[in-house]
Amino acid sequence: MELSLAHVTKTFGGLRAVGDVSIEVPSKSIFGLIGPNGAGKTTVFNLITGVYKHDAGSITFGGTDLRGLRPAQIARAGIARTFQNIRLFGQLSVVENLLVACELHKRANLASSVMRTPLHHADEHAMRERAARLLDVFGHTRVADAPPTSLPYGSQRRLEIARAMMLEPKLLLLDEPAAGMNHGEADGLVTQVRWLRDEFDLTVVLVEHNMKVVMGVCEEIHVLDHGETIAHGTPAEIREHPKVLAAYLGKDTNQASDAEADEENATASILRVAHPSRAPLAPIAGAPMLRLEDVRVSYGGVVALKGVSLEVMPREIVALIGANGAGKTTALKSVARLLPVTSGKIELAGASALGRSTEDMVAAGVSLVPEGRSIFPNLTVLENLELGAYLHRDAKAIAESLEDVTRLFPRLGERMKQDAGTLSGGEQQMLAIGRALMARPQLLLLDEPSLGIAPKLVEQIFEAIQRVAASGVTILLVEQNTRLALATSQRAYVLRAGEIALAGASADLARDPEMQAAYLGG
Amino acid sequence: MRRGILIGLVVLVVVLALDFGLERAITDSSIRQLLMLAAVNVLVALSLNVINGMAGQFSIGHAGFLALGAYASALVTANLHEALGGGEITFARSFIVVPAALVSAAAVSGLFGFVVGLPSLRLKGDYLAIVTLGFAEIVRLVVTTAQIQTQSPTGGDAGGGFFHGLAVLLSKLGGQNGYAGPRNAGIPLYAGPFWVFGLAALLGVVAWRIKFSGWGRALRALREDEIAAASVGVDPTRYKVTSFVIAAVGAGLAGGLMAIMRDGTPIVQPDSFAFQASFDAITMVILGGSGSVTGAAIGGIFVTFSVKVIELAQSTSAVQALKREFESLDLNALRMIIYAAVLIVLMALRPEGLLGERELFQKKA
Repeated sequence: MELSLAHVTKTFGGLRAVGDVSIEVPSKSIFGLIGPNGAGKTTVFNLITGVYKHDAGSITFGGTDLRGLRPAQIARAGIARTFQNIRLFGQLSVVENLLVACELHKRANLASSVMRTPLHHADEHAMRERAARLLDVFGHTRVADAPPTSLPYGSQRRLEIARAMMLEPKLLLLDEPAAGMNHGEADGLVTQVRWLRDEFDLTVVLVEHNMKVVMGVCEEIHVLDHGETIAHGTPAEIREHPKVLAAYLGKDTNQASDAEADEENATASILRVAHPSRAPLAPIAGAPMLRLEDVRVSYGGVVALKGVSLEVMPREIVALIGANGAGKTTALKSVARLLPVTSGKIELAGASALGRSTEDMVAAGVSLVPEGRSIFPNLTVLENLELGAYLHRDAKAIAESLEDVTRLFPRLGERMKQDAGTLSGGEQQMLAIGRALMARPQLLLLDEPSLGIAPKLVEQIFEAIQRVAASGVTILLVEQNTRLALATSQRAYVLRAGEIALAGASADLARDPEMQAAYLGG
Repeated sequence: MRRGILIGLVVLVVVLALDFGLERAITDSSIRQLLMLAAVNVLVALSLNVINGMAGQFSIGHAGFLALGAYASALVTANLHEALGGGEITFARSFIVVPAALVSAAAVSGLFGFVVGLPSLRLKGDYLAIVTLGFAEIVRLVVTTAQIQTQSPTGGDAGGGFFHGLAVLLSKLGGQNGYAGPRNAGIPLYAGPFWVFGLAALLGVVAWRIKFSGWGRALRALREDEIAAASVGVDPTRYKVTSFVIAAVGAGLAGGLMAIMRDGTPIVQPDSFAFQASFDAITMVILGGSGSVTGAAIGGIFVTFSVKVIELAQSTSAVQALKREFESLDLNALRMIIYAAVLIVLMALRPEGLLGERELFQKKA
């Protein structure tokens, strides 16, 4: 056994995040660690890599007890990892991000680097060669000198894996590597992970919500729920395991009645949208709430949008889908006036929005729920929500909004006083949506609300989105999960390489054979 | 490689020529002082840039390290000069005195850099800034008040034992009035242009190489994301403390040169190392661009000359006339307002400073 956890326990302020978990990871295996959101998977990774110290039990790697070792020492011992919320070094170039991970293999010390001794040059040369090889493997050679933040989300994830591989690890921990990747990329990931294991002869442990990836690549799977082990076995065993089905997919006895109740709720208005101190956005009859005409956006010489035109009618849910890097997030950001537009028109309820600032847009009733959630981790849930109503002064209206949001997401109500950073990924997404709703938007821009979230919670979040729409809010939805996006929306646009490739009613698109080709860029 | 040696030789010839020729070329000693001060300030900025720019820590107590360097260097120089029999300050003799002075300055300052660097492991942002500020003020106040301690009016026992001894030792530094050698005859100013400009050039190269080495890269990564840096084997403890030591050694050298610089003042006073000095150092780094070596150098030169420009402006007839009109007008005090204005405008237009993290003359990797 290479990695072994025995009776590991970790509590945060009375809350047991991991309780008495024992895991044996066989050497050179590809091992899956799965479970619903908040199950404690990332905490287990943080315990292995020394970011947190466990309260009880032991973690050993290749026979060495990891207790008492600092994160950097654990990295030296041969354990590399990636992060759920990508942690690249933003101010360093792509290739520099990789080179940093070579520090521990360097023989030249600082003095010899300052003297520029032959040893220093030999080190740099060897490091750069390794980096070049990995950049090639992960398809980043062309962008070696670019800042990592300019890459699309999926590429950033692969860059993190490449950086981890620079350590020449014996054990690679991947925290949701497929989050933010489309189907094609996720399939590619399966091949890449297998290739990595075989080529570099290492053990891989991955935390992942994408079941296709987990079942496709893992040889053994360990399932956690609420910090405790509920199952362990081969993919085939796990798929049939009743406890896993219950925990993961929510197949409990109450489900039927819940579904009925939801059905009723979905049609009822749950939010108060009008605001006493704001003129409502009222496009003339038959005119769109939002209209983009031939919008072009480019940054740093790269053209991200090449003339995009689309319309969103009042009270409509419109989905914007497409592969990674197609320009979906750019489109949303340009509507939210977070990015300057090179040319074209953006109209809100018939009036040009190009001269407006982001604050203006929020005040006018347009809110963005950003990709990756961007909540304020060190503020409480309540404070996060209150900040969403920052532009409003009417205490009564704020209290009402707060009431509405809690009704929409009862989970947030239970966690009002908690720091937002301690919420699970799914709860953070609820908070991000709730925060946007606190401004009482009439047009809600949603960027990847299902990103990195367990299926059960995704369902809840999309139900909530339906209810928001039923309350009279117009929604423009960017979503990686095509099936879900098409099932939720009335109409959809498919972006490919910065252009609209396909558009139509969602139900038609879902059956369109061209769809797959357009989406996968074939 | 060949080119490097050639450039080194040219620089060597130039600084040698300056050492002997500067007096003849520039007869106004205040201009010579200004040029030398600019070079010293480049060192101040380069060293602070390691902590504030590359490592992303925020130190506002750089003056403390300058003070330690200045006093150490002044003590060694003055006493060594005595030991060598006094007499004339020769170029040949400076090869004994200056290295000894600067090595002690660097050692003392570096040691304190290590001590101050330790809390940086637990403290971040404003909290660390307060620690560094406290350190600088302690250094300054200890030197300033040591004299008062031993000359207490009650006559004698101002503490007794170890602390009394320490106070007596410290009181030799002259307290508020400053240190001017063991017999108060002034510190022999051994460091001519050869040393000042030569070291500025040499340490500039060192700073550049630190930034463009794996070590500098690791430091910048640490600044971006500590957890991610640790996960790839960059130990925050080691890198942060080392960056503090390196910055302190650099500041020690700068302070050391400041104390014994030809055409400078032959006395080291604690007031030169008040918060103002730390603030000037931060201004240099931020103006030039945090993290940029060439930027720090430009910032150092700019700040030095701005002081002079304002002084010159003081003596123009227009300002004199104004002064007669408004008696309390003091342009030196106004300098702070001008700085603040320049900084605010710069931060509004270019929040990353003149160069940001980039460098002049940077090769494409």
